[in-house]
Amino acid sequence: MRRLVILVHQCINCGAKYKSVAELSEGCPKCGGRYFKYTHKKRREDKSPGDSIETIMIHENGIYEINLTPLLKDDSIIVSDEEGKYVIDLNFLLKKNLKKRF
Amino acid sequence: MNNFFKTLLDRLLRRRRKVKIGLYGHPNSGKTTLANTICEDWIGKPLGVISDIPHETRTVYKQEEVVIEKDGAKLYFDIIDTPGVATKVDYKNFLKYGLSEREAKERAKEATKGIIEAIKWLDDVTGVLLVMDSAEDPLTQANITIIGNLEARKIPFLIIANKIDLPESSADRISAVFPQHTVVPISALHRENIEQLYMEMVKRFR
Repeated sequence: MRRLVILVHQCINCGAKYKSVAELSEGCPKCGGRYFKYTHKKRREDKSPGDSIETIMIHENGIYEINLTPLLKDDSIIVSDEEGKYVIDLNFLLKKNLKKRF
Repeated sequence: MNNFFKTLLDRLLRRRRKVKIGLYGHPNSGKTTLANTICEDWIGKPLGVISDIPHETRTVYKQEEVVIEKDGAKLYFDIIDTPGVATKVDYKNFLKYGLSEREAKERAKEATKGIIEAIKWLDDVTGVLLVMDSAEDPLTQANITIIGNLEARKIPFLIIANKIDLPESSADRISAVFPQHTVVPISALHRENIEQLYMEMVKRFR
């Protein structure tokens, strides 16, 4: 397992955290504070590519991660949005095997 | 083309063709129960472990050299029990059977790998018993996709309408959905109509 760290700007005065520096041009939107420290927002556990079987991981709507290892090795398309939940494209898999056969 | 010449050579030399029969179908349709019934009848021992939890068979099991003898005709074959084929696997479905979240997720992962393995074995089988739960709707993506693929590959197959012992079962519904294919109604668990299945197997795969 590897850890994914998201870095954020935290207001020293009120403790609010912001991902983008663009929203801080007028100071902290909450308290107006002008001083920030660079810190971690949260740590999210992420699987190493060797552990995962899905070829396409949907992190959230519009954000996808393609896992090339099973895609190249197994010629299969397995879509997942959460560990333990998988959708398998049977047609893709069967057609690939059919082409190999003839 | 290579297969054509191989078959021709086998026939000229009167060599016995190696028949490999794969059991395919949805999870919990009774594939392993049927494989066990066949193996117990003709080998004297079961092939795999059965369970109420879907995706119990997550890898391919094979029994070589099974011989069915019916009315003087013999069918020599290897039996290949494959993991259930589904288009979706969700670990949450396993939680109600008392599995922990970690166990359920691991089972889901293994089941998904098993589906890929089962499909790949289609390259090796020479005949298929497509097992359906006759108490469930047979018109599913997995059933239609497998049948279409078997037809395209010209692999002979029989549709097994299993679980006819259940009151809500309907083998006729399966026959109505797939009228162009032979449907054999059985109960693998209670051995109902098993002799008819052996007869059809000898007829179709020999």
